[in-house]
Amino acid sequence: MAILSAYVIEPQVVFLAYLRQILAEAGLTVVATSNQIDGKDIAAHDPAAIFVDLDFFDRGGPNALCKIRQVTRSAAVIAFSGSDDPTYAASCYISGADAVISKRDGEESVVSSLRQALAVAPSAN
Amino acid sequence: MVRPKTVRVYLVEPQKVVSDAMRHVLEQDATIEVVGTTGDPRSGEIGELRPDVIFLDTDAVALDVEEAIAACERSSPQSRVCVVSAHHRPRAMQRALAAKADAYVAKDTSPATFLEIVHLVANGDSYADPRIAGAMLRRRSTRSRESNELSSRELEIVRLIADGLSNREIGRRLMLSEKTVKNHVSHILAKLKVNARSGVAVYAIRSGLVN
Repeated sequence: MAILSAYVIEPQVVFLAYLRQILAEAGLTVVATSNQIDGKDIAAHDPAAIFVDLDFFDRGGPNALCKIRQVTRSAAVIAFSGSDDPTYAASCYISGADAVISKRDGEESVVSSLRQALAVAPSAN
Repeated sequence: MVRPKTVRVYLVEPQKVVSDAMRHVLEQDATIEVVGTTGDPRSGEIGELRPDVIFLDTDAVALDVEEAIAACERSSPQSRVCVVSAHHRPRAMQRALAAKADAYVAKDTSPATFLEIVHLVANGDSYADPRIAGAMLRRRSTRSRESNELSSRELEIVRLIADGLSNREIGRRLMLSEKTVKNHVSHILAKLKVNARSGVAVYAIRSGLVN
Protein backbone atom coordinates (compact mmCIF):
# COMPACT_ATOMS: atom_id res chain seq x y z
CA MET A 1 0.00 0.00 0.00
CA ALA A 2 1.47 3.34 -1.03
CA ILE A 3 1.71 5.98 1.69
CA LEU A 4 -0.09 9.17 0.77
CA SER A 5 0.39 12.62 2.28
CA ALA A 6 -2.53 14.05 4.26
CA TYR A 7 -3.27 17.57 5.44
CA VAL A 8 -5.54 17.64 8.50
CA ILE A 9 -7.87 20.51 9.42
CA GLU A 10 -8.95 19.65 12.94
CA PRO A 11 -9.29 22.16 15.79
CA GLN A 12 -10.07 19.43 18.35
CA VAL A 13 -6.53 18.87 19.63
CA VAL A 14 -7.43 15.88 21.82
CA PHE A 15 -8.47 14.11 18.67
CA LEU A 16 -5.28 14.70 16.66
CA ALA A 17 -2.96 11.99 18.02
CA TYR A 18 -5.66 9.36 17.62
CA LEU A 19 -6.51 10.66 14.17
CA ARG A 20 -2.89 10.29 13.03
CA GLN A 21 -3.11 6.65 14.07
CA ILE A 22 -6.35 6.07 12.14
CA LEU A 23 -5.06 7.84 9.05
CA ALA A 24 -1.85 5.80 9.15
CA GLU A 25 -3.91 2.60 9.16
CA ALA A 26 -5.61 3.84 6.01
CA GLY A 27 -2.26 4.53 4.36
CA LEU A 28 -2.03 8.26 5.00
CA THR A 29 0.79 10.11 6.68
CA VAL A 30 0.00 13.51 8.16
CA VAL A 31 2.27 16.19 6.71
CA ALA A 32 0.61 19.18 8.37
CA THR A 33 -2.26 20.09 10.66
CA SER A 34 -4.23 23.28 11.01
CA ASN A 35 -7.20 24.52 13.01
CA GLN A 36 -8.56 26.50 10.06
CA ILE A 37 -8.59 26.54 6.27
CA ASP A 38 -5.35 28.21 5.29
CA GLY A 39 -5.17 28.17 1.49
CA LYS A 40 -1.51 29.15 1.25
CA ASP A 41 -0.46 26.47 3.69
CA ILE A 42 -2.50 23.80 1.89
CA ALA A 43 -0.97 24.82 -1.44
CA ALA A 44 2.54 24.79 0.06
CA HIS A 45 2.13 21.19 1.24
CA ASP A 46 0.31 20.02 -1.90
CA PRO A 47 -1.16 16.98 -0.10
CA ALA A 48 -2.69 13.97 -1.84
CA ALA A 49 -5.57 14.12 0.63
CA ILE A 50 -7.16 16.71 2.89
CA PHE A 51 -9.00 15.57 5.97
CA VAL A 52 -11.38 18.19 7.37
CA ASP A 53 -13.56 18.10 10.49
CA LEU A 54 -16.68 19.98 9.42
CA ASP A 55 -18.15 20.39 12.91
CA PHE A 56 -16.00 23.41 13.65
CA PHE A 57 -17.13 25.71 10.89
CA ASP A 58 -19.82 28.18 11.90
CA ARG A 59 -21.01 28.72 8.34
CA GLY A 60 -21.37 24.99 7.87
CA GLY A 61 -19.46 22.26 6.17
CA PRO A 62 -20.44 22.90 2.54
CA ASN A 63 -18.98 26.41 2.68
CA ALA A 64 -15.76 25.05 4.17
CA LEU A 65 -15.53 22.46 1.40
CA CYS A 66 -16.08 25.08 -1.31
CA LYS A 67 -13.25 27.10 0.22
CA ILE A 68 -10.95 24.07 0.12
CA ARG A 69 -11.89 23.34 -3.48
CA GLN A 70 -10.97 26.91 -4.42
CA VAL A 71 -7.44 26.07 -3.25
CA THR A 72 -7.06 22.61 -4.73
CA ARG A 73 -8.88 20.62 -7.37
CA SER A 74 -6.51 17.66 -7.21
CA ALA A 75 -6.43 16.58 -3.56
CA ALA A 76 -8.90 13.99 -2.30
CA VAL A 77 -11.08 15.80 0.23
CA ILE A 78 -12.37 13.68 3.08
CA ALA A 79 -14.97 15.33 5.28
CA PHE A 80 -15.57 14.19 8.84
CA SER A 81 -18.84 15.08 10.54
CA GLY A 82 -20.98 14.31 13.55
CA SER A 83 -24.08 14.61 11.38
CA ASP A 84 -25.78 11.50 10.00
CA ASP A 85 -28.18 13.53 7.89
CA PRO A 86 -28.06 12.24 4.27
CA THR A 87 -29.16 15.65 2.93
CA TYR A 88 -26.21 17.28 4.67
CA ALA A 89 -23.87 14.60 3.31
CA ALA A 90 -25.25 15.17 -0.19
CA SER A 91 -24.59 18.90 0.05
CA CYS A 92 -21.03 18.11 1.17
CA TYR A 93 -20.48 15.93 -1.91
CA ILE A 94 -21.88 18.68 -4.14
CA SER A 95 -19.52 21.15 -2.47
CA GLY A 96 -16.45 19.08 -3.30
CA ALA A 97 -16.02 16.26 -0.78
CA ASP A 98 -14.80 12.92 -2.15
CA ALA A 99 -16.03 11.19 1.01
CA VAL A 100 -18.14 12.11 4.02
CA ILE A 101 -17.39 10.00 7.08
CA SER A 102 -19.46 9.94 10.26
CA LYS A 103 -17.85 10.45 13.65
CA ARG A 104 -20.44 8.07 15.02
CA ASP A 105 -18.60 5.20 13.35
CA GLY A 106 -15.90 3.27 15.16
CA GLU A 107 -12.24 3.13 14.15
CA GLU A 108 -12.58 0.08 11.89
CA SER A 109 -15.44 1.57 9.97
CA VAL A 110 -13.66 4.92 9.62
CA VAL A 111 -10.50 3.22 8.29
CA SER A 112 -12.56 1.18 5.86
CA SER A 113 -14.39 4.32 4.61
CA LEU A 114 -11.09 6.14 4.21
CA ARG A 115 -9.62 3.29 2.16
CA GLN A 116 -12.69 3.20 -0.07
CA ALA A 117 -12.55 6.95 -0.57
CA LEU A 118 -8.88 6.89 -1.46
CA ALA A 119 -9.37 3.98 -3.86
CA VAL A 120 -11.77 6.00 -6.00
CA ALA A 121 -10.36 9.52 -5.58
CA PRO A 122 -8.48 10.39 -8.80
CA SER A 123 -5.75 12.32 -7.01
CA ALA A 124 -4.86 9.40 -4.79
CA ASN A 125 -4.21 7.02 -7.66
CA MET B 1 4.61 6.05 49.10
CA VAL B 2 0.93 6.97 48.91
CA ARG B 3 -0.55 6.17 45.53
CA PRO B 4 -2.69 9.03 44.19
CA LYS B 5 -6.41 8.26 44.09
CA THR B 6 -7.61 7.18 40.67
CA VAL B 7 -10.18 9.51 39.14
CA ARG B 8 -13.01 7.52 37.53
CA VAL B 9 -14.21 9.25 34.37
CA TYR B 10 -17.30 8.51 32.29
CA LEU B 11 -17.73 9.81 28.73
CA VAL B 12 -21.12 10.85 27.34
CA GLU B 13 -20.13 11.04 23.70
CA PRO B 14 -22.28 9.59 20.91
CA GLN B 15 -19.47 9.97 18.39
CA LYS B 16 -17.67 6.65 18.75
CA VAL B 17 -14.43 7.71 17.16
CA VAL B 18 -14.28 10.85 19.33
CA SER B 19 -14.94 8.91 22.54
CA ASP B 20 -12.15 6.49 21.56
CA ALA B 21 -9.84 9.47 21.07
CA MET B 22 -10.84 10.96 24.44
CA ARG B 23 -10.19 7.66 26.15
CA HIS B 24 -6.81 7.46 24.39
CA VAL B 25 -5.84 10.89 25.79
CA LEU B 26 -7.27 10.50 29.30
CA GLU B 27 -5.73 7.08 29.90
CA GLN B 28 -2.26 8.45 29.25
CA ASP B 29 -2.56 9.62 32.86
CA ALA B 30 -2.15 6.57 35.09
CA THR B 31 -4.37 8.16 37.76
CA ILE B 32 -7.36 8.46 35.40
CA GLU B 33 -9.58 5.52 34.49
CA VAL B 34 -12.30 5.78 31.86
CA VAL B 35 -14.97 3.51 33.36
CA GLY B 36 -17.49 3.71 30.56
CA THR B 37 -18.98 5.54 27.63
CA THR B 38 -22.48 6.14 26.34
CA GLY B 39 -24.18 8.19 23.69
CA ASP B 40 -27.18 8.98 25.91
CA PRO B 41 -26.92 11.02 29.12
CA ARG B 42 -30.04 9.20 30.39
CA SER B 43 -28.17 5.87 30.36
CA GLY B 44 -28.70 3.83 33.52
CA GLU B 45 -25.04 2.87 33.47
CA ILE B 46 -24.07 6.31 34.81
CA GLY B 47 -26.06 5.66 37.99
CA GLU B 48 -24.63 2.17 38.33
CA LEU B 49 -21.00 3.24 37.92
CA ARG B 50 -21.23 6.57 39.79
CA PRO B 51 -18.07 8.06 38.25
CA ASP B 52 -16.14 10.93 39.83
CA VAL B 53 -16.25 13.00 36.64
CA ILE B 54 -18.58 12.90 33.63
CA PHE B 55 -17.48 14.45 30.32
CA LEU B 56 -20.62 15.46 28.44
CA ASP B 57 -20.43 16.44 24.75
CA THR B 58 -23.43 18.74 24.54
CA ASP B 59 -22.95 19.31 20.80
CA ALA B 60 -23.54 15.66 20.00
CA VAL B 61 -26.17 14.40 22.44
CA ALA B 62 -29.83 14.48 21.45
CA LEU B 63 -30.91 16.54 24.49
CA ASP B 64 -30.41 20.24 25.07
CA VAL B 65 -27.69 21.26 27.49
CA GLU B 66 -29.94 21.77 30.54
CA GLU B 67 -31.68 18.42 30.07
CA ALA B 68 -28.43 16.58 29.48
CA ILE B 69 -26.78 17.97 32.62
CA ALA B 70 -29.92 17.31 34.68
CA ALA B 71 -30.02 13.70 33.42
CA CYS B 72 -26.43 13.14 34.55
CA GLU B 73 -27.15 14.75 37.92
CA ARG B 74 -30.25 12.62 38.47
CA SER B 75 -28.36 9.41 37.70
CA SER B 76 -25.29 10.21 39.77
CA PRO B 77 -25.71 13.28 41.97
CA GLN B 78 -22.21 13.18 43.41
CA SER B 79 -20.50 13.09 39.99
CA ARG B 80 -18.94 16.29 38.68
CA VAL B 81 -20.12 17.23 35.19
CA CYS B 82 -17.75 18.74 32.61
CA VAL B 83 -19.45 20.05 29.51
CA VAL B 84 -17.37 19.71 26.35
CA SER B 85 -18.37 21.84 23.37
CA ALA B 86 -17.00 23.28 20.17
CA HIS B 87 -18.81 26.55 20.88
CA HIS B 88 -16.80 29.56 21.97
CA ARG B 89 -19.92 31.65 22.38
CA PRO B 90 -20.19 33.11 25.90
CA ARG B 91 -23.91 32.33 25.90
CA ALA B 92 -23.21 28.62 25.41
CA MET B 93 -20.87 28.58 28.39
CA GLN B 94 -23.26 30.58 30.52
CA ARG B 95 -26.10 28.17 29.78
CA ALA B 96 -23.98 25.19 30.79
CA LEU B 97 -22.72 26.75 34.01
CA ALA B 98 -26.16 28.08 34.92
CA ALA B 99 -27.45 24.51 34.49
CA LYS B 100 -24.95 23.49 37.21
CA ALA B 101 -22.14 22.12 35.07
CA ASP B 102 -18.92 22.06 37.07
CA ALA B 103 -16.78 22.87 34.04
CA TYR B 104 -17.06 24.18 30.51
CA VAL B 105 -14.28 22.92 28.28
CA ALA B 106 -13.84 23.98 24.65
CA LYS B 107 -13.05 21.13 22.30
CA ASP B 108 -9.88 22.79 21.05
CA THR B 109 -8.35 22.57 24.53
CA SER B 110 -4.97 20.83 24.60
CA PRO B 111 -4.69 17.24 25.89
CA ALA B 112 -2.47 18.39 28.80
CA THR B 113 -5.12 20.90 29.90
CA PHE B 114 -7.83 18.24 29.62
CA LEU B 115 -5.89 16.10 32.07
CA GLU B 116 -5.43 19.04 34.46
CA ILE B 117 -9.15 19.78 34.30
CA VAL B 118 -10.02 16.21 35.27
CA HIS B 119 -8.00 16.50 38.47
CA LEU B 120 -9.13 20.05 39.18
CA VAL B 121 -12.80 19.17 38.88
CA ALA B 122 -12.41 15.85 40.74
CA ASN B 123 -10.92 17.85 43.63
CA GLY B 124 -14.05 19.97 43.90
CA ASP B 125 -12.99 23.02 41.90
CA SER B 126 -14.74 24.44 38.86
CA TYR B 127 -13.39 25.37 35.46
CA ALA B 128 -14.47 27.77 32.75
CA ASP B 129 -12.45 28.07 29.56
CA PRO B 130 -10.45 31.26 30.22
CA ARG B 131 -10.73 32.44 26.60
CA ILE B 132 -14.53 32.42 26.75
CA ALA B 133 -14.77 33.62 30.35
CA GLY B 134 -12.44 36.48 29.49
CA ALA B 135 -14.65 37.51 26.59
CA MET B 136 -17.72 37.46 28.83
CA LEU B 137 -16.06 39.56 31.48
CA ARG B 138 -14.74 42.03 28.96
CA ARG B 139 -18.21 42.40 27.51
CA ARG B 140 -19.62 42.97 30.95
CA SER B 141 -16.92 45.53 31.74
CA THR B 142 -17.79 47.56 28.67
CA ARG B 143 -21.40 47.64 29.78
CA SER B 144 -20.24 49.01 33.15
CA ARG B 145 -22.52 46.73 35.08
CA GLU B 146 -20.48 46.41 38.19
CA SER B 147 -21.13 43.87 40.87
CA ASN B 148 -22.49 44.93 44.21
CA GLU B 149 -19.86 42.81 45.84
CA LEU B 150 -16.74 43.42 43.78
CA SER B 151 -15.07 46.78 43.31
CA SER B 152 -14.17 47.88 39.79
CA ARG B 153 -10.52 47.07 40.52
CA GLU B 154 -11.47 43.61 41.77
CA LEU B 155 -13.63 43.06 38.71
CA GLU B 156 -10.66 44.02 36.53
CA ILE B 157 -8.54 41.46 38.36
CA VAL B 158 -11.26 38.80 37.98
CA ARG B 159 -11.13 39.38 34.24
CA LEU B 160 -7.34 39.02 34.18
CA ILE B 161 -7.51 35.86 36.30
CA ALA B 162 -10.02 34.51 33.81
CA ASP B 163 -7.54 35.35 31.05
CA GLY B 164 -5.05 33.07 32.81
CA LEU B 165 -2.62 35.73 34.10
CA SER B 166 -0.52 35.14 37.22
CA ASN B 167 -0.42 37.66 40.10
CA ARG B 168 2.91 38.97 38.81
CA GLU B 169 1.53 39.44 35.30
CA ILE B 170 -1.59 41.14 36.64
CA GLY B 171 0.62 43.45 38.71
CA ARG B 172 2.63 44.39 35.64
CA ARG B 173 -0.53 44.97 33.62
CA LEU B 174 -2.18 47.16 36.28
CA MET B 175 1.05 48.72 37.58
CA LEU B 176 0.51 47.25 41.04
CA SER B 177 2.92 45.30 43.22
CA GLU B 178 2.52 41.52 43.26
CA LYS B 179 1.68 41.75 46.98
CA THR B 180 -1.16 44.22 46.31
CA VAL B 181 -2.55 41.92 43.61
CA LYS B 182 -2.31 39.00 46.03
CA ASN B 183 -4.34 40.97 48.59
CA HIS B 184 -6.99 41.79 45.98
CA VAL B 185 -7.16 38.12 44.95
CA SER B 186 -7.61 37.05 48.57
CA HIS B 187 -10.51 39.51 48.92
CA ILE B 188 -12.05 38.29 45.66
CA LEU B 189 -11.82 34.64 46.72
CA ALA B 190 -13.35 35.51 50.09
CA LYS B 191 -16.15 37.58 48.57
CA LEU B 192 -16.98 34.92 46.01
CA LYS B 193 -16.55 32.13 48.57
CA VAL B 194 -14.30 30.04 46.33
CA ASN B 195 -10.99 28.41 47.15
CA ALA B 196 -9.17 28.59 43.85
CA ARG B 197 -8.63 31.07 41.05
CA SER B 198 -10.30 28.68 38.62
CA GLY B 199 -13.53 29.07 40.55
CA VAL B 200 -13.57 32.87 40.24
CA ALA B 201 -14.84 33.10 36.68
CA VAL B 202 -17.28 30.22 37.16
CA TYR B 203 -18.81 31.80 40.25
CA ALA B 204 -19.04 35.17 38.51
CA ILE B 205 -20.94 33.66 35.59
CA ARG B 206 -23.27 31.54 37.70
CA SER B 207 -24.20 34.35 40.02
CA GLY B 208 -25.02 36.67 37.15
CA LEU B 209 -22.07 39.00 37.60
CA VAL B 210 -21.42 38.61 33.90
CA ASN B 211 -23.65 38.05 30.90
